[in-house]
Amino acid sequence: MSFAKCRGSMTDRDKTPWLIPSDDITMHDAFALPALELETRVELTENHHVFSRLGFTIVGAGSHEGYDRPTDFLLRKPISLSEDS
Amino acid sequence: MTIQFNDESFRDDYTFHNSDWAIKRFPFPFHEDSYMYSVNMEQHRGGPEGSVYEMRFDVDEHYVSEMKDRAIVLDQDPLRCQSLPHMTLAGWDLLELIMVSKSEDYPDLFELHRNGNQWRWINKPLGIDHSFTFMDETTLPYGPMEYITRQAQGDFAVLDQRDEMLWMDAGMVTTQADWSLDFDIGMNFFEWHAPVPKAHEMGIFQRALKFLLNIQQGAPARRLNWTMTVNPLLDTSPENYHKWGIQKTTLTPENIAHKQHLRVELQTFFRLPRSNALVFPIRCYLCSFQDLMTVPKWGRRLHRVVRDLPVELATYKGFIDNRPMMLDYLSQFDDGLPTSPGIWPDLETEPPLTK
Repeated sequence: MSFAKCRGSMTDRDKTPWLIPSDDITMHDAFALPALELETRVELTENHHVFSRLGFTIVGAGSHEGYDRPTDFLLRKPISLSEDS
Repeated sequence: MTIQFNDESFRDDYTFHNSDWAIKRFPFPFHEDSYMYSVNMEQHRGGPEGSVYEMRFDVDEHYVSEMKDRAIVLDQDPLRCQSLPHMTLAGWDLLELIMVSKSEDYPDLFELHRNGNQWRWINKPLGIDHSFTFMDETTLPYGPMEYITRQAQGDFAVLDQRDEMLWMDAGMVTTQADWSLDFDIGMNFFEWHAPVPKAHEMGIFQRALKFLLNIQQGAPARRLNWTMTVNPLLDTSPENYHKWGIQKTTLTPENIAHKQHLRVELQTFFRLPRSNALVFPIRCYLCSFQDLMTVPKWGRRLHRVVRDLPVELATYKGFIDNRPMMLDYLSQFDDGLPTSPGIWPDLETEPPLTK
C-alpha cells in the first residue's frame, strides 16, 4: 500500500478534512505512508478549493463507469510529520 | 383531497413551512419515551387516512418545491444520480412502479395511459404531458430512473440482489442525511452501513438484511429513521458539508424554536418485478421544534428522548454539541405527565401542557 486513500470524505462523522493534520501524523507513524489521496467530483469546485487550502493538489483524473469524460479528480497531499507538527 | 402546493425554499432564505395539516400528519418517529435502534420494519400496506403511510408514494404540499430543489442539486452536481450499466432494467421497473402507484393513488394529479409499450404520462403539478415507449431509453430525456425520480419526492437507492447480498448499484440521492451515493455506489449492505455505531454489535444489520432479502413483489415494507437538522435543509450531503455543517453553530436560545428541525425518513422497500432489484425510497420530512411543540404529547416525548439518548447516538446524529441548548428549550414542554403509547398525536385524548 503506497498511499492512504480517503474518497470524498468530508463528513461530519469522521470530521475529515478538519482533522487531516492529526490523521496524517497517525498514519505516518503507523504505516510510514508518504501521502494522502482523495477523489472529488469534477463539478464540486468548492470542494477543490477546500482541499487545496488543506494542501492537496490535483494529480490525476478518472471517469465513472459509463462516462467518456473525466468525472473526478485525484488529489494528493504529501505527509510530512515535521510540517504537521 | 386537493393539495395546495407550497412555493418555498430549502436553502438560502429558507421559506419552507408546514401547514397545520402537515404538522398533524408528520411522521413522529418515537413510539415511546426512549429510543434505541431496532429492526423496526412493518408491512407497507397503507395506514390511517391522510397519514404519510396511506399511499405507496406520499405526495404532500412540498412536492413541487422539493422537485425544484432536486433540479438545482442535479444542475450543480449531476452525479448525485448514478446507475451502473446493469441497473437500467431496474430503472424501468421503478418508473413503472411510481407511475402506476401515483396514477392510482392520486388520479386527480397524475394519469398514466398505456397501449402496449406506448405510454402517456401526465403529471399535472409539474406540468408534464409526455408520450414515450416503455423500455426505449431514447424516448425519454433522461434514463428511466432519473426521469421518474425527478418527479418523486425522497431519495431512491436501487439495490441489486445477488449472492445473498444487496448492492448499492443505482440511486437518486439529493436529500440525504449526510451520506454520499458516490461514495457508497457499488458497496454491499454491510459496507455502506459501516459508520453506524452500536448497531453492528447488536446484530441489527444481519437481521435487517435477512428481512430485506426476502421481501416479495407486492409486499413492500417500511420503517422510520430520524436525525436533527438546523434549518430546513433537504441537501445535507457530505459533498456540501462545508455549506451546511457550519450552520449548526448558528443555533441560539432565541432562534432554536424555528431553526432546529426534527428530520424523519420514511424508508420503504419494494421488490421490482423484472430485475428482482430492491428499491429503497428514503422520504425526508422536516418539522421545526416550534411546530412539533403544538402537539403536547410530542413535546413531552421529544424532550425525554433527546435527554436520554446515548452519547454515541447523539454524536452520530450530529447534535451532541447542541443537545444542552435543545434540552433547555424542550424541557419547557415536558410537565412530567405520562404519554400514550404509539406515534400518533392523540390530540383529543392527551392532556394539554400543565406548566
